[in-house]
Amino acid sequence: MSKRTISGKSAIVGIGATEFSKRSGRSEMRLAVEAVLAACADAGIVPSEVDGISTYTMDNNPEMEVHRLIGGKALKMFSRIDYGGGAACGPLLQAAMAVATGICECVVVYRAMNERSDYRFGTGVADRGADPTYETVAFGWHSPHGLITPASWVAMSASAYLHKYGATTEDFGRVSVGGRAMAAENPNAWFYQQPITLEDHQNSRWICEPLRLLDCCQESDGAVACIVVSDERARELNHRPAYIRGAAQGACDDQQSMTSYYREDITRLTECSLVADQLYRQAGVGPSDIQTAVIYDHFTPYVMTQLEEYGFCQRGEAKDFLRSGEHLLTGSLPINTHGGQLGEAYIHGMNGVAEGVRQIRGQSVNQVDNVQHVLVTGGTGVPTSGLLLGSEN
Amino acid sequence: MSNALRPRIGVNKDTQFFWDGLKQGKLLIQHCKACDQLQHPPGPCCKHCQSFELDAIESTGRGTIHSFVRMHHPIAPPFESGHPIVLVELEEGTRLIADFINSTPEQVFIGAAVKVAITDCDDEVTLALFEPASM
Repeated sequence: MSKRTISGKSAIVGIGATEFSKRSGRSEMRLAVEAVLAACADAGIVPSEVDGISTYTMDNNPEMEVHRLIGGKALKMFSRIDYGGGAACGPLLQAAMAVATGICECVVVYRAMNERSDYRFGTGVADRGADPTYETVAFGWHSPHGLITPASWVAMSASAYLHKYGATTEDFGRVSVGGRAMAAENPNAWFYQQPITLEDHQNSRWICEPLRLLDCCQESDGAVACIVVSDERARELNHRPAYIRGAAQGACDDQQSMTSYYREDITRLTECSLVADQLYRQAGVGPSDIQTAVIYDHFTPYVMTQLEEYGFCQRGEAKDFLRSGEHLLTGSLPINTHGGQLGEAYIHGMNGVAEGVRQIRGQSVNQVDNVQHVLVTGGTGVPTSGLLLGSEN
Repeated sequence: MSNALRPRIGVNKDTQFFWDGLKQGKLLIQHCKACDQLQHPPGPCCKHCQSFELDAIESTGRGTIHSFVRMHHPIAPPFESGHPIVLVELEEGTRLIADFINSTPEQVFIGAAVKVAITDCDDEVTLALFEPASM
């Protein structure tokens, strides 16, 4: 095996965010800058030190402009990661690589959007014109038949999963109830003090059977940013470093973006298994070494699939994991302790990275005891990503 | 069904044959002349052997429901709330997404036998819709 590794050579030392809302009332650029400045202040670094930026391809705020506005002097690396929320941990991989290889000293990653107030993803792709670009051609296999929204794309796989493993929509509901229970304790969550019951879930309206309203994450305005520096520098700053022990991306097995309906087993997310294998190999740990996880929860069914692909339970047994409450604060693997995107906000998973850092620091509103390793996963159904944070390097 | 138009289709040089086939009443599947494998959605080369020597076979149009959903929200004409959409596995082995028409709720289940109903939806769009095989 190669000795070359990024594991433990960098750390997240600053996190910053705006409030999470349905209408920010400010430009996306302002949200980005507010979050980046907050992250710098949290870390205790001067913003002009930032010499690397990575964000999502879908983010509307150019790296050069964010860098210019924060008083940056020399930007040596700028990059973007595609596939919506599948990016999530990808910018952290870019940051870890840039720092580990000496390209950059201080990398900021951000995601800033007025998604809810300006361009809701949930409205679907029905109105796209007909052009010969890859993405439009790919939508053409599905949208003329009415399969036009992210919820519907996930529902097609979820339906097959329920059929194959005998899970029920109540199992989806257990994910939702769990997330809202965590959010109920989080003053920064949109659904602070608003827990739900399984009955609420079952009574919520159909969006695309077998998915109900309460299986779908929120749509949100807001921004989150993180600062990554070397492990040496990290020890001199304000907080306990959240060392990047593993960072990975994955696409495989007849991968499509949200519509991998042509792979052998559509109930699987094999790209998550590819990410898991890389993370565990880089960090030299396994699922049993992880005390808490942020599992990307744009839609509840894929939380179940991820619990299986990342090795927390056997294939088809996520329903049993959830029924015994292992995902709750009292369980063996509390997940989405900030409330997830179902409960806190939908910031394309970057708010989940921030929660992973808080768990390492001991600052979560739903703090888990003795956290040594935290898994954070990127968006699913698309080419994806993952991050393994550690309290030691 | 409403006269409202369905979403438009993006077509490129790799996929033109499929849509032309539907206009002629044929459901085509891309076929590799080098390794004899089929693939859908089509592409510029064979994903199995990377040959660019591709043609197409005509599907029987028969298959089974591999998975399905019922779409409720958001819904806009010509679609009706709760309409089933299926992932069909064709007899030939490839899969495709299709709006499922002329069905009762009991006819929509995984494993159900289905057959193609090539439909001129409007002047531009001809689709391979599917319906119960017993129709």
